[in-house]
Formats: sequence, C-alpha cells, structure tokens
Amino acid sequence: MSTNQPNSRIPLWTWIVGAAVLIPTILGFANKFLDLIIIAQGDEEGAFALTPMINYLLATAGFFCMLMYAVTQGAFHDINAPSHSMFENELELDRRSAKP
Amino acid sequence: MSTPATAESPRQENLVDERLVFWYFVAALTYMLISMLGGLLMGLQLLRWNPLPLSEYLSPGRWRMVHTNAIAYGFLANGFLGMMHWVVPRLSLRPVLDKRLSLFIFAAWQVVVLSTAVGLLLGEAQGLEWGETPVWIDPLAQAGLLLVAINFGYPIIKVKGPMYVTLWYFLAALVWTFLTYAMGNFVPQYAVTGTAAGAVGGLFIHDLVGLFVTPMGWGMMYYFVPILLKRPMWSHGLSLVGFWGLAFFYPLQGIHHFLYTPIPMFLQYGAVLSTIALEFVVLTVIINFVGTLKGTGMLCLSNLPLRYFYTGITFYFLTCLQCALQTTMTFQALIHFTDWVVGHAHMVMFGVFSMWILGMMTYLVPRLLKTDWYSEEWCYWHYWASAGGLTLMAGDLILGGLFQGWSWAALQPWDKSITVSHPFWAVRIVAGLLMFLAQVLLSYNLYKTWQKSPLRLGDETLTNVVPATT
Ligand code: HEM
Repeated sequence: MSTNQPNSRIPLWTWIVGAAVLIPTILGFANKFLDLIIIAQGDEEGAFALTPMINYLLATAGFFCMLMYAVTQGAFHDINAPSHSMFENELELDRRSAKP
Repeated sequence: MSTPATAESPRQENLVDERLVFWYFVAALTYMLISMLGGLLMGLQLLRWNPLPLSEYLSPGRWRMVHTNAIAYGFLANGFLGMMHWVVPRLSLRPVLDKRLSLFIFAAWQVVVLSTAVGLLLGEAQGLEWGETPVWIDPLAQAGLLLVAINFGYPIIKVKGPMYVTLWYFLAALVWTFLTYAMGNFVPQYAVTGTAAGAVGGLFIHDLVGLFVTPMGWGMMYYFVPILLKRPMWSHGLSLVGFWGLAFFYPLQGIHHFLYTPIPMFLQYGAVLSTIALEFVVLTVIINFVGTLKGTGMLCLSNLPLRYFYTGITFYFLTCLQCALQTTMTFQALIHFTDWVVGHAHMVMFGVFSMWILGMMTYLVPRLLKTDWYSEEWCYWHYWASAGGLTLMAGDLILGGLFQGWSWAALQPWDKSITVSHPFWAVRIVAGLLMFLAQVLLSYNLYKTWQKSPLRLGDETLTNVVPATT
C-alpha cells in the first residue's frame, strides 16, 4: 500500500482542462434542457420526451450522490492505493490457502 | 481498500463457497448450449428449413427469444454470479451476507430462467424486446435481483476507505440492474405507451448491456488481469475515469437504437453526443489495459485465460469502432435493420463478454476442482474454435448487412435482398456450428475434470492444492 501523502496543490493545467470540458458541457446541457422545457410546454405530442429525460436525470442524480459519497470515502486522495492493496491481499490469501 | 491482510485475515475457505461457484458455471454452460441450439434453429429457419415443423411450441420465432433470453439471463447472469461469489469476498475480505441466501438465490434464479424458457415456448412472451420474460415472472426476477443486491452489496459497503475499481463496478451494477429491469419490464407494460414506450424500450435494451453486462465484465477484467499478469493496473485513476464516465454518459445512449424514428430529434442528437462522449471513456479503459500489459505482452499468448481476456478486449475495441460509425446518421441510414446489427450484437455478446467469462472459467475451474484440466489441449481447441467461429460469424453478418443496406438503398425489390442474404446466412450456420461444438468440448472437458477431481474422489489431502494455471 502506498503511504505517499497526496499533493494538495492542484496544478494549473488541471483547472484549464477542467474549464475546457465543463464550460461547453454545462452550456450544451443548459441549451438542451431549455429545448426540453419548450417541447414539453409547447407541443402536446412532445411531452412524451419527458419520460426518458426524467429517467436520465434521476439516474444521473443517483450517480452524483454516489460520486459525492466516493469523495467523502477518500477515493480520490491516494488514487492508486486500492490497486496495490488489492494485489497484496490477493497474494496473502493465496499464501494462506496453499498452507494446509 | 484499507483492510490489510493481517494475521487475523480470513482464509479462502471461510470467504468463498467454491462449490456454489462451480454450480453457477455448470448452469451457465448448460444455458449457453440451449441458447446456441435456439440460434441454430432460427438460423436454419432463415434458410427456409425448419427442422421442427410439427409443433407450434417449437417454432423458430419462439426459439429466437429463448436464444437471446437464455444467453442474457442463463449464461451471462449465471457466469457473472458465479464469478462474483469468488471475487467479491476476496476483494472485500468478507463473505457474502448469508451463505444460505446464496443457495436460495442460485435455486430461485434457475427457476426464473427455466420458467422464462417454458413461458416463451408456450407463447407467453411479453411484447418487449429483451424484456420478453412473461409478465408473471417479472416480479419474481425483480425480487431475485433485490436479494442478489443485498447479498453482495453487504460485504462491499462494509469496506472502509477507498475501494478498488472492481467493487465500484459491482456495487453500481447491482443497483443499476435492479433499476434497469424494473424500468424496462414495468414502465412500458403498465405506465407509458406509444413512442414513449419505444424510447423507454431503447433505454432498457442498451442499459441492460451497458449497466448490467458492461460493469460486470469490466469489473471482472480489472480483477483478473492484474492477478494473471502479476502486477497492479497501470493506472487505478484512469480506471475510475472509465467507471464514472460510464455512469454519467451511458444512461442517455439507449435512443441511439432509434435514430430516424418519431422520437424528437433533440433526444436522438443527445444520444449521438453521449455515445461520442462514451467512446472517449472507452478509449481510456482500453489504454489502461494495454498499458498494464507493457513489457509482458507475450504472456497474452502463452497464458490461455489472458489470451481470452485480451481477445475480448480487442473485440471490445472493434465493437466500439463500429459504434463510432453506427452512431452517425449517415451510416445509420445504411445499416439500420440489417444483419450488420446482428453481427455487432454477436461480436459484443460472444466476442467480448462470453470470451471473458469463458477465460475466467478456464482459470478458475482448476482452482475450484483442485486439479488441472482433464485436457489442456482441448482448452486450446475451445479457444480457437470459439474465437475463430465468432470472427467468421461476425465478419460474415457485418458484411451481409452492408449488402442488404445497399440493396434497400438501391430500391431493389425486398426479395432481392433476401437472395443476397442467403449465402451469408449459410456461412452463419457453419460458424455457429463451430462455436457450438467448441462449447460441447468445453462442457465435456469440464465433466472429465470433475470426474478426476479430488473433491469428488474424497481425497482430502489434495484439496488444498492450488494447481498451476493454464
Ligand atoms: C450457435 C451459435 C449461434 C447462432 C447460429 C446464432 C444465431 C442467431 C440468429 C439467427 C439470430 C436472429 C437474428 C435475426 O433476428 O435476424 C440471433 C440473434 C442474437 N444472438 Fe445469436 N447465434 C448464436 C450464438 C450466440 C451467442 C453465443 C450469443 C451471445 C453470447 C448470441 C447473441 C445474440 C443476440 C444478442 C441476438 C439479437 C441480435 C439483435 O436482435 O440484433 N448468439 N442469433
């Protein structure tokens, strides 16, 4: 298991990439969301589009809660640690099984 | 995962019910054989020969549904459940919630799958693609999925601290499968109608692949590949990108099955965009697995289970490449409703997920039965016949699909496109027979291995042996 303390400073390029991904995504999403509202209000036939959209929004809300839970569990601190500890546990389990 | 392997750490025999894992594998292979028989019958019907014309209960239309349902709920679900009984306790270092519950779920699930098959043959199918399970079975299956989620969810949520990516995939799959099944089987049946039901159906079909089969499959790969390569994943961080990307982008994709339908264009374009986004996510996953292989590439050839795994990963890459084409409106206009899609479906379901499950069985069976395979050579034959048969079948159907599409685009009469299709459908039968024989060989090898197993012979001294992997 790695014991390195994670570096708490977020490098500049992370912010730049983050902004490059998030800004168009948020704009795109907001735009589509407005589309949805207009369709749902204006066109009686179009209201059915709400079903899959609401499904999606509910599912995404669930994932978002899960993501927040993962953050509180420290999943993004020492990000490679679980990979190493899983490996050590496996070796240990096999060693134990091999012993009569 | 913060639980270290200390002196008090549990032992394999207290964690894993190996007998149950083996039973799941036997059930999975049985359904695989049944499903393939169904596929062969349907394939022959398309060549205008129905070998079982005497009874409506054996009509190819019904067998086609048995074919897909037995694969999804019989082979894949049983294979994955068996695998989870091995992986989850070993990763969480805790047994499942209750071993008696596990036995009950095993029996109940077989009842669900068998009743589905019988219901379908009796003509009681529900009118929903992939949701054909008769309506009276749906509540049972739903309850079964809930029990599965509780039984496996318990050891997973007990893990303290950051979790290994496999457990993330499994935890999510347990919840997603339960919700996806409910959405696909109950919402269109009781709540919505018309195009809305179509849209929900699209979400259901795709979510079944993306939120049940995919997370199970990738979760399994993230566990077995590092173990067989004897090194951790190249980047655990990148694997988390793959997981969260799947979580956020997948649910919107279903509608890409319904491009050019009356579903509003903004939903269709939304599906196209989220498919493109997911292509990037998939790329990160593939890069991660190729990165993990760095410097040990030859192991892929010499170690048979790894060979299955990386063959599956290669097919995964190819299916995603197909998806990138399929999701464009221009290409969709050509291949919609053609055998291209059927070729794609076989490549992903057999070439990827079944190859992974079969590779996982090849690795685990000697450990479960405490003896080497009866014939390692047959294992190699099984690999080549499965991979070769699938390559032939998928290539054949994909090409045939293009010819069908061109025939329709040229506005030729319908029966011309049928004539064009016949040679391709004949090749499918040859490829299918090869794949079928491969699974018969594997089943026979499994039987012979079981016969010589010290567990069956009651030789206690040998039951702690961990045989060398194939
Ligand atoms: C003996 C080998 C097989 C044969 C001969 C065969 C044949 C067929 C046939 C004739 C169809 C119906 C196609 C149509 O409606 O036009 C079909 C559909 C399907 N098969 Fe198979 N199959 C075989 C093995 C498998 C396996 C092993 C899997 C999965 C692991 C599988 C998954 C599917 C799926 C998902 C579909 C639905 C495709 C769609 O609706 O687009 N098949 N198969």
